[in-house]
Amino acid sequence: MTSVEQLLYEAVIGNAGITSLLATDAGGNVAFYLIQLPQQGNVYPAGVFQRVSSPRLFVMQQVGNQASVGRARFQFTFWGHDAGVLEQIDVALLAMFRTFDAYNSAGSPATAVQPGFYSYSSRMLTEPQTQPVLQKVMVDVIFWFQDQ
Amino acid sequence: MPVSGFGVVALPAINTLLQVGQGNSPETFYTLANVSSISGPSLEGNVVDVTSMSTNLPWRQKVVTLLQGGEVSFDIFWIPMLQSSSGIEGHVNLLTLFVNRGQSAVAGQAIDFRLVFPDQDASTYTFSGFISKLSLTEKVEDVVRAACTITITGALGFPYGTPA
Repeated sequence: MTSVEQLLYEAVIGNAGITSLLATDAGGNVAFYLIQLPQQGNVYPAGVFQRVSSPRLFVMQQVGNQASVGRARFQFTFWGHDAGVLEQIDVALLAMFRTFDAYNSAGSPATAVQPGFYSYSSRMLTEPQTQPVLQKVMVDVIFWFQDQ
Repeated sequence: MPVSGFGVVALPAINTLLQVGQGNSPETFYTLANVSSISGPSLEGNVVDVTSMSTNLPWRQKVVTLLQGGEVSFDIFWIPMLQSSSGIEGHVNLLTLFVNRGQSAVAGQAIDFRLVFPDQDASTYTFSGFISKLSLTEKVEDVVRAACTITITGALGFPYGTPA
């Protein structure tokens, strides 16, 4: 079963609009990670994402696909020294979510019109105690998903 | 078997099944799909005040006369294209039961329902009624939902006892 994290990571990494704005780390990978930045060799702009919550829907009867649908809330955080680039990353991420689909199984006939996301909120702030000063943009997004 | 005493403290409600009879003989029952909550039956007795001047007491006296099954209301994660299959009652048919105002195209034929509890005996309450309310809700941040109401007609059947 593909996790929502995998779907999101693949969507971001496969989106040139976002990856073109992110740095490449020492391993040659796009600087986008699950939960936290690497301890060593940070490059910027870089980002992380993490699941905040994912309440699932339950029905009365015992069915094989019980709790297979839910709404996931994820937080993305991108750091960089140029606030303008962070703004562009925010815009590119929003564009990505307009076509992101964690509900319908890839390669199968869709059972619903691409549900996408229904909440997207971003804010920019400064990372305290950094020199040179790091800016960051934090994005809180909620979307429907279905196990696939 | 009925249980007595205090061995059973509470019964989790999940796996309580609301089932609809198909109107055939012998009757088969399909479980309503995607039910997320059930309220009822809301049994009620008609209370008549029989306080008279001669009781000589400052307390009202009352008796219960007629009983009614009241209503069973339930919420559904509604899928408009869901057909009935494999013992599952689809939402297309539920809407049909409402439009028909009963079991068949002839309005007035009460639909048989069962409420099957998730205890070891699958204790079952039986009742007949009509789909009297079917209210859909679509919010941008939510799934499509339906709030439905069954108005019960006649007696409630229940195990380990005799229907009133």
